[in-house]
Amino acid sequence: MNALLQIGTEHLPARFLRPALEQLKENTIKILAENRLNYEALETYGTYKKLVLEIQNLAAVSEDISKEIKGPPAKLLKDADGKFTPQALGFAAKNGIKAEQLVVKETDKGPFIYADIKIKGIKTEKLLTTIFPELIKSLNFAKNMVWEDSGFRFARPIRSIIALYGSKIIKFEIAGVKSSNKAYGLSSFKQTPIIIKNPESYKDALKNQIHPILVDIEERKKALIRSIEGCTKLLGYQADLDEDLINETVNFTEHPIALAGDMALSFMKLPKKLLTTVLKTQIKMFPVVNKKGELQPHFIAVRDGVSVNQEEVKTGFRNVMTARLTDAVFFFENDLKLGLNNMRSKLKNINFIDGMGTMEDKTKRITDLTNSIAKLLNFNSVDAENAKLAASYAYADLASSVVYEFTDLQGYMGGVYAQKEGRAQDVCTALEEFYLPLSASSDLPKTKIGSLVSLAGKLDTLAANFKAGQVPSGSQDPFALRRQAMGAVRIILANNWPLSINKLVELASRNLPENANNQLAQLPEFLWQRLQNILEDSLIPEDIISAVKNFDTSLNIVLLNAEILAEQLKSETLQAVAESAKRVANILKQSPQNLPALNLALLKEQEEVALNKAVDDLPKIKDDFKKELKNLSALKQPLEDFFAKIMVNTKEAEIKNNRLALLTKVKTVLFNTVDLGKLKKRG
Amino acid sequence: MNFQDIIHNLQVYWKKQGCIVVQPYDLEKGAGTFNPFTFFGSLTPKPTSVCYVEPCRRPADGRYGENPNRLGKYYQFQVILKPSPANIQQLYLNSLKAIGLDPEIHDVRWIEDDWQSPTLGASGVGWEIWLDGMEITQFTYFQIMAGYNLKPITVEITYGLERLAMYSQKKDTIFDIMWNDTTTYGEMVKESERQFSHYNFEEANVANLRRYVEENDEECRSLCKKGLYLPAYDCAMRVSHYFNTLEARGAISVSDRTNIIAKIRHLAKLCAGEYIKQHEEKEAAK
Repeated sequence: MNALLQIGTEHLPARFLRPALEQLKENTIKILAENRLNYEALETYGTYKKLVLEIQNLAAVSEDISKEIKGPPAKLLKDADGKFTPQALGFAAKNGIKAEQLVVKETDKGPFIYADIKIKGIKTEKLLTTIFPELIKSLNFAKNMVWEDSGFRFARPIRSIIALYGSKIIKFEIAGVKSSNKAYGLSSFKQTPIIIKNPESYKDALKNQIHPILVDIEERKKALIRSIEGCTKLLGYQADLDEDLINETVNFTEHPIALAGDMALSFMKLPKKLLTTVLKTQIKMFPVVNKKGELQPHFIAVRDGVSVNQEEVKTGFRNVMTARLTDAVFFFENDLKLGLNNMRSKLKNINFIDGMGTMEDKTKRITDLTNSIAKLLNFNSVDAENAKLAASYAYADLASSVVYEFTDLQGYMGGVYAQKEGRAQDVCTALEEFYLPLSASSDLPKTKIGSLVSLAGKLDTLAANFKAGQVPSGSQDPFALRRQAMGAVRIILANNWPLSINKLVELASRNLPENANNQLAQLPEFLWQRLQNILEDSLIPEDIISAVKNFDTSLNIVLLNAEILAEQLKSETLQAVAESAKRVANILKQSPQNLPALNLALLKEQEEVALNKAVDDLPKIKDDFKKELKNLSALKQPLEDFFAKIMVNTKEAEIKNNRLALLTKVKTVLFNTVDLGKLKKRG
Repeated sequence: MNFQDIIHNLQVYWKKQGCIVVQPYDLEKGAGTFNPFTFFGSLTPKPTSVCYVEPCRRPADGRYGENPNRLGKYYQFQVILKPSPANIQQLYLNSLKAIGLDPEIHDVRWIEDDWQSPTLGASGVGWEIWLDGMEITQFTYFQIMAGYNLKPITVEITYGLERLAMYSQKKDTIFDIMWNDTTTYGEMVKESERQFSHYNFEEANVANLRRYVEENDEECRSLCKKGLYLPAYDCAMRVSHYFNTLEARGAISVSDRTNIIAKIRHLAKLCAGEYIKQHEEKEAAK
């Protein structure tokens, strides 16, 4: 038989729905296992007023338990008087049986006391009277409340509960609500109970109402999109089906019905993202676009379950939208009047982080940083000037009314204001791209200047936070510094810029105020961790990552070296060279600090001479790691012969030191670019 | 429906649901929640159901009667029910019918909105309710009042009367709302908006206001000590209003603000504590 639990609530916040349904599913799987109840399948679904669990073919009885537990030796069963010993009594009690039920069984080690445990399965009908309430209690929400005298806590008041096993009601009470077989329809209508005969008929019973309820989330989502597309088809356009808004809308309706309306043409002068942000986030409406993605003067609003009186409702929605967009126009026009220069001058009143000055100070720092990096990268003078100009306005829009109202539009609005002021296109784009990438894998700035300014902003944020002692640890990363660092590294790699970690940290920390909590020393490793994540994602083995680790090598070269090394290590010859390299490194670890220079006259053995010659014969290679590695193959035999025949640690100190000097020379060519000694043996 | 008829119909509707129709409390307040029936009413187990119109003063929101959508003084209609009835959402939706807004043909949306008042040391869980996209009501299950966890739970329904009237009468501005068949809302309030804006933004005597804050603070504390929590609470309400006026006057710094809010919260807690104590003593004596 199937089982059904429906927790009927007042309006749950849309964002609570999915997490609650996931928990309900996980907790059910767990609690059914604990109770040894078998079933074929289970699923959870629901609306903002109904959290539903449906279990298919739930066994009528839980499984029997039968097991034997070994206890103390048989001689401890009874004492000389024939009474149970304390040990026997204790063993029986521990296993929940009487001492009389203990049995003695023969084993390899003689007779022992056993407890034979047999637990009969329990009827599911009975188990569910505790399992269902437990499940309701087990749900956690981001925020809970109390609404009645039992003090039960839940996200919003529970007003009805359906609890069925087959057609039978599983009876219990929670938060003053008795379980039943009654569901309720859309909340705007008279609440007449809908009797649910059995779990199988639940979904259809709700769907077959005069005002249908689509209790399945996927079905509701399809209905929403169908309904929106029905509206836009009539208009001859498409809707901007924003994924977040779709999911939110699906979760605050029981039966979404779309309705199209128009907006005054005068609002079309608003920047596109500002207009769509007002529609989507403030009033939950879908923008309408043409095939090219250009905004059209229409909107799509969504009603819950009702499609009468459309004209009046449409007028209502339109008025609300008009009021909000009028506000947006007001903010936007005020900002345009103010201009970027005046916005920027307000930055001295906005603090960055404690001890690291104001946003005006930060602006000055990133302008300087942008300038330094542009020089390093040999930007031409026009690009360098544009980059500096963009950096000097990068934070200006933080002082605008629009960004104050809609924080997510930072950067974008800066770009818009710069366009309106007729700034160079490169500057406008750089401002728009300043906060990219928004996540670990999302789009990077596309332009060179945008990349540079964005990089400077991130480096300063990182260096300033570390200098103020704010270093992320574990899950604690309130300023999202990992994301910032990842963005910085990705920008450098994408542009193939020759910048090393040490250089970045040096430049970024130059103009920071002094701070007692300074943790800047941790920043290079923190940046390296991001690069390491990227290398790991490209499936570079861990030992190769260690081998190429270097804070003075440009990040793009480190990445390239890792790829080359991984490729070249397919050659067994190079693997053998790497093995020898490890021996060289190990021996030199214990060598004295001040070795005398290599004395060729002291090289007596054939293998010593050969190794020295092989090193001398290596072609001089610069900036070609691949060729360098290939050439190292020539050292394989000489190195192996050397280690096979030559004892470095001889008693004659002069000879010993000379051999160490030879190995030091070998090391400089082996470890010229990467640390081959870090490599593990490949099998 | 005329403004005055919306008020009348809400009163008739909630009267039928067993509410006492109370008259507005005669002191300035920033929100209906400050009304003693709401504040003290939520604190003890004694059941309560009242409704009333409450004028609210928000000095900083005034616009000299020139901005048709901003007012320094406006009207809320409050319903306070304790314990909260199980069919409260339905009761609310029916109240909309009573003022001519049928939920069966409009879009009624309950948007998560948890309320809190740092000055009263109060918080609750609930929604703002949208009618065809317009926010018309705040619906809150109080959880904490004056720092005390509440039991039983009080539900507070606050109707924005001007919003309801604008929607019902299809008016674009507050001033165009018909108060009755012949007089507009604008005619009733514009002059008062103009004069009070001048007072709140330009004329209010900052030194006096600061003195009133101190005097009422002191008086509230001393009255609480004497067990007179009702007049004490009047003083706390006055402190809150003078604070709001000082803020409109631009005389409050960030640290000032935090301090005065903490001061009012403390006064509210003193009054609440005294009331709870006396109530418990009375119950014990029964």
